Amino acid sequence: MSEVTRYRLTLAYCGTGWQGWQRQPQADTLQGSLESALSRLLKLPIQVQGASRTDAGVHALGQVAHFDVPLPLPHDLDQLRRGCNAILPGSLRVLTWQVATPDFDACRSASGKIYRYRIGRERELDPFLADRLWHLPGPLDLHTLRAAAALLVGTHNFVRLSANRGDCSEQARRLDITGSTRTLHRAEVHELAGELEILFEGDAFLYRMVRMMVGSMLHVARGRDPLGWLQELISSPAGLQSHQTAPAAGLYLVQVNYPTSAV
Amino acid sequence: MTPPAHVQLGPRPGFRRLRLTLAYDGGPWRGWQTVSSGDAVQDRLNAAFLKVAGGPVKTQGSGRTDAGVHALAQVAHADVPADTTLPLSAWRDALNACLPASIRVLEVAEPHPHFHARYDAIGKTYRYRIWRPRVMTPFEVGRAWQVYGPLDESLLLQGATHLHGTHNFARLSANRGGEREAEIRQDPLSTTRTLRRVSISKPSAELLEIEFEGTGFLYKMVRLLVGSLVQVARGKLSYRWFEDLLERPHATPKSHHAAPADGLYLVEVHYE
Repeated sequence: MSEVTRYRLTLAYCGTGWQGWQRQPQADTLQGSLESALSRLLKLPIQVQGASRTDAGVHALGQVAHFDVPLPLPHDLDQLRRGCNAILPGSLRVLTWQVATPDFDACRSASGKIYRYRIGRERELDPFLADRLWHLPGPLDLHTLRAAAALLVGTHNFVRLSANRGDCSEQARRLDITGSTRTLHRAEVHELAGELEILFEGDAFLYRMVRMMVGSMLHVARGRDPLGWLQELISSPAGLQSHQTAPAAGLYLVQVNYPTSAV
Repeated sequence: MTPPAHVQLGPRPGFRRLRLTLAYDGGPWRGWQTVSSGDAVQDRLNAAFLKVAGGPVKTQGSGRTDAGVHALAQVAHADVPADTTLPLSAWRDALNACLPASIRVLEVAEPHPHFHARYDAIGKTYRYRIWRPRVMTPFEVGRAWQVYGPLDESLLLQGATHLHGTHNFARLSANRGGEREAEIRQDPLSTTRTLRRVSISKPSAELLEIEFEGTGFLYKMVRLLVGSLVQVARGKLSYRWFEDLLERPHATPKSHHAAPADGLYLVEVHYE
């Protein structure tokens, strides 16, 4: 009788120096590095599935992944977690290692995600934050930024505030209205010491969506185009995509939410 | 610090002196002082000056920092051609435009013409950051030392109190390699320094910081002080062992428990 056990991991990583989450041949990817560490630890070929395919340079405080092992592991799970961390480079950490239900899927079971975007406002870039935020010291209008955030909250077609991953034609992507409609529950601007933070919570996010939302919000808050320009991007899905994408360095995947039934 | 007699202190004729305050993430660099590979902070600063001033510029730091050691406010001076037309206010942005993001010039000022970054320094403040939780966050790698497990903080505090004042740190410093150990030990003053303040704080639930303010620091002294105190606070070595390092500076062996460079920050250089 073959018995498969599914495990769920929570991960944190500093995205600097990594070529993103998704496994690629001959590239330092988080998925690839995690898979080789798990395979070495368990002496079994392991493939993991992540909740979010974060871009190169994007950070995570609570990425989630699942994987299957043909037999239940005899070890203490916390010992395995430590063993895996001993193999992984310090910029990628396994925070928790748990047994999941067989139908748990890190990506498909997710009911929502929280992202944070950090904007540095100090005149000089802090050398310790160089690859951890977007340094944007010039004038910007906070009221407009908040109005832009409020405008994006709700259910919209985000096709013009997202990019084509390259797995279908742009024409096909434009026709799939359900596929590009998402609900943003929260978009909040917080003022911190020397920084602005924009927090997004939504049911799901399209490719590059957070970076394009932030880039476009800041475009308006810096007075480059009126608020109506941003409004147009979500209300008339037939036009061109936004040409404003915020750098990867400021983006953090904070948390992946699951309905209690999936855990 | 008293300069050796042969050192020319002021700028050469035709040059004017600038005073710089710099911050850097030491992670990517082979320390402050110029190295043949060109991977030191000073090498990058010299390269930036070469571009901005259009010719070689001599720079002098307040002191060296080791590979991997960080600075929040290192001080240096630079002698630039006196006929450079760039106004004082434009130097900082011009240099930063030529520097990697992990090195930033915070301030450029025109000091007294004989200001010397090294010999005019009357003290320094260093901070050492210790990360306490069991999992080292990926965002602090290279920026703090992870010390997980029991740590008797009362022993750290006792050590900090004990260190306050003037001591011979011969057994709590490393030999840079230029002189033989026996020669160094012949002159007790060369290894005697005064610590004006040693304080311990907990800025967050995860971090423990030890700050040292003193008249001067010997090579690897802060790292050896922190490493040795942590050995004691972890119960690996006795407090008596630590006391002995200070009380009998001529005895052997020296402490070899240096804390990693990752957690060390040069916070401030003091001048009159």
